[in-house]
Amino acid sequence: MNAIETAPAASMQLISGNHACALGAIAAGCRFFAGYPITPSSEIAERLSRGLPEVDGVFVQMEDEIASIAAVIGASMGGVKAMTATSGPGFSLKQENLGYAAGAEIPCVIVNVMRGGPSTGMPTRPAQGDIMQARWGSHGDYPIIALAPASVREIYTETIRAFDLSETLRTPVVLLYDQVIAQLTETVELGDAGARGRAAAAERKWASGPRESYRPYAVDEDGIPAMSRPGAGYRVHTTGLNHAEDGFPTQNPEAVARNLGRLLAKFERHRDLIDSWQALACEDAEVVIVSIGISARAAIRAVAMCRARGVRAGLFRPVTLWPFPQAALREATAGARAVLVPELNAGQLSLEVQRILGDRPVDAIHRYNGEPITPAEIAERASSLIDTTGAGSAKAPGVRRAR
Amino acid sequence: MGAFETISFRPENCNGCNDCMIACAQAKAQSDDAARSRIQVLSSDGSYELAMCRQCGDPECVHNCPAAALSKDAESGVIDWDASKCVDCLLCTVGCSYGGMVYDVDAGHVAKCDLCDGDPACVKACPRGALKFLTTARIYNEVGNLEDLFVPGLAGCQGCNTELIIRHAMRRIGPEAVVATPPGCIPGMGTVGYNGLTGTKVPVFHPLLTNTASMLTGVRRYYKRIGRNVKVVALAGDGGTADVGFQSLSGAAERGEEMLFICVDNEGYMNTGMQRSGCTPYGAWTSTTPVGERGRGKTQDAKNLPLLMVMHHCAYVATASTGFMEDLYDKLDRAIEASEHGFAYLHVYSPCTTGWRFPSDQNIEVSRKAVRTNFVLLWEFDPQSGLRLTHAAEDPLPLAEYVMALGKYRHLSEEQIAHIEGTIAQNVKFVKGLAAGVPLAAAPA
Repeated sequence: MNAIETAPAASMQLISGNHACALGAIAAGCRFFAGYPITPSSEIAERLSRGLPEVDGVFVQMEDEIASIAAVIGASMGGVKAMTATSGPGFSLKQENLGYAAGAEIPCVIVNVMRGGPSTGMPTRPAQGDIMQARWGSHGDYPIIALAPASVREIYTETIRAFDLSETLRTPVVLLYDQVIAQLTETVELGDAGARGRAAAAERKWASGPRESYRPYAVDEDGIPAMSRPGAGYRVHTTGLNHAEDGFPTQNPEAVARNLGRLLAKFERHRDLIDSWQALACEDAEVVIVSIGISARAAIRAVAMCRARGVRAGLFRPVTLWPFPQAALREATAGARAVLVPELNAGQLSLEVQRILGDRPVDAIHRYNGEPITPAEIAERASSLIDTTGAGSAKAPGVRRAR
Repeated sequence: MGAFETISFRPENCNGCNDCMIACAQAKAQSDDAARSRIQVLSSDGSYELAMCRQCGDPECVHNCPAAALSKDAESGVIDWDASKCVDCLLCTVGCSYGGMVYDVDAGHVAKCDLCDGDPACVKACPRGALKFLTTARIYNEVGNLEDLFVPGLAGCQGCNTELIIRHAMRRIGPEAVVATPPGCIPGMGTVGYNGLTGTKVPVFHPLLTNTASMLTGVRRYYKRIGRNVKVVALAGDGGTADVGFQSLSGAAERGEEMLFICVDNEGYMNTGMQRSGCTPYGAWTSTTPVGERGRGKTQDAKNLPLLMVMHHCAYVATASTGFMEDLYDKLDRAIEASEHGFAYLHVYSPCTTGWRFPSDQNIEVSRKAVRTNFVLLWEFDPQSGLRLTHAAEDPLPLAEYVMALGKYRHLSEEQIAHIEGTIAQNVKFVKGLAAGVPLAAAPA
């Protein structure tokens, strides 16, 4: 039943989610970190301040959040795998630079450990209120990848995958998890996961061929432009302005539409690489719970509790949150009479689920008081959605606020 | 009863030169004979002890005097001796445990210290700083009865110096104030209040780490526009001042916003787990400047934020320390006054028992050592008078006295200590140069 890998057998370590993130970054080949202290993500920076020098990497503590992501973008332009880590207030400050990285197609990884919000919120309490911000936080139209691990081990493997996707697809990748998973300490075995991650590790596509004909944003079939470091001999111009294939600013409507259109469609032909989810006991499920992070951990137990009382529950857990694995969600919920979305916010994941499922019934548990949702609460609500007398169908459709 | 001024004695600084006794004899008996001094320094097992009147609060000598020749002055606290009433019975000498009543053989009667009307000759004569005239009592007399605007129930660490700074600052600032305190230890310890019963008894708001001075600009500008005169005060840590908060601080200072910005400098992000900041000194351990095989603490020097503020042409800039309370109060007064017509910046050093790794009962001692070793320089600046050192930088204590008291420096190598010594020497030279230079602005006509 417990399909999230939490306790493999050999050479186990007892570490926190944030430490797993730091170790995953190093295993993925990250050699540059710039950050700024913020609860509850500071342990990532603290761990890397020791870990990166040991592998001849660079750790820099910057003067603020904006500087941190800007330094990461600069380092990545120089060719190194680079990362920063923050929490909600810092993630808000980074948004302009995040848009820059997305628009200029600079690979980088941004960890956002979600705490209570809005604003300073509750620094030491969990929340999942940055789901929509991770997708839409910067202005204008741009594509983004966000990954949502739910265990210490998965933070490790998804950190590695974040770098792989970032490098392969030339995009910023947001690693999104909540305070509980971040500071939760679990026994994990990282050896296998690390080896698997390294085997899959992909390098950035670098410019090759004649210098005269190099155009920084020209693409072939895969839609990913080949990159060149400044000073490598190719003419490179990186800008936040809309640009044409030559990398230089333009307001030519055709050129803007062509390059931005290519950027916005960039992920579609790579969905097999990007999409990742866990469908747990969904085959025969009459109620499917859709959840991420600590709420999904509670939902795993809730599925078992439901089934023990005769309610056939399942869990659909998007590991890649953005772009949302919508085909998989449709498939996992195809036979269900009800869908339940427990999440630590006032309604974000449930909006996306409702959008994908159209007029299908979607219920939700929304909580934003700093307390996680318990398995019993989820099981109770999931069971209530199913008329166990067998007489009727699921209750009325539409997202409903619990409290 | 108020507190009184007094003479303090540091035996470790005394070498038994007798200059104090000769000065006293000259001042009080027109004699060069040390035996006629009201102050007696006595050698005892290689150290020195002081025999002189302590101006007791409940004086035995006064009780014992049958002729009412001795009395304690309620204003100055000095025990006065009236020669015209004295019957030379010497009973006063019997009651005194401190050897404070001297018998002047040549004069034929008792003699005692009267603190030279607040300007003691012995203290002025002491060449080694063993004797000091402490006037801190005036602070107690002036502010002791003022309302404490910082109520009990705060969750600061044991021995927190920041709490002390805010408590005293708020007494002087008074209730007509709006305070802003960005994320950090200051709101974290409960300055902003937890339940309506704790916190600060003036309006306190909690801006963002990036923008304290900007939000206060809005408060002050609008209150001024509607004719309401409130003191607008920032209480910010060094991160919220020197790093992420610097842009808004610099902007407000450049515009000459009328506010008082107090930076409580504990040399790092202590509230989030002791990460380094732009104010963390060279060599210091923090959780992001680790000490191990590859790391030996921070590899850069701290930025000198108060000097940066001088170059903003602020109405007033000063550095202060709770180890020197009189100086802190003087500067608070001037800073508050300056904030009525311009930007005032006060940089207060705040040793952190938790983050710097030292016992929680040693905060004031550490604060004093920081100044006495010149690790921290105390000075003040205004555009008319220029920069002025308020604590002499001559004859500092050896640096080791300070750094070896702190766990965060325990790993320092000789080379690192030499680097810090070099930085201090450079800083002293530079600040002295500024102090000797011309003021930024011509004196007002």
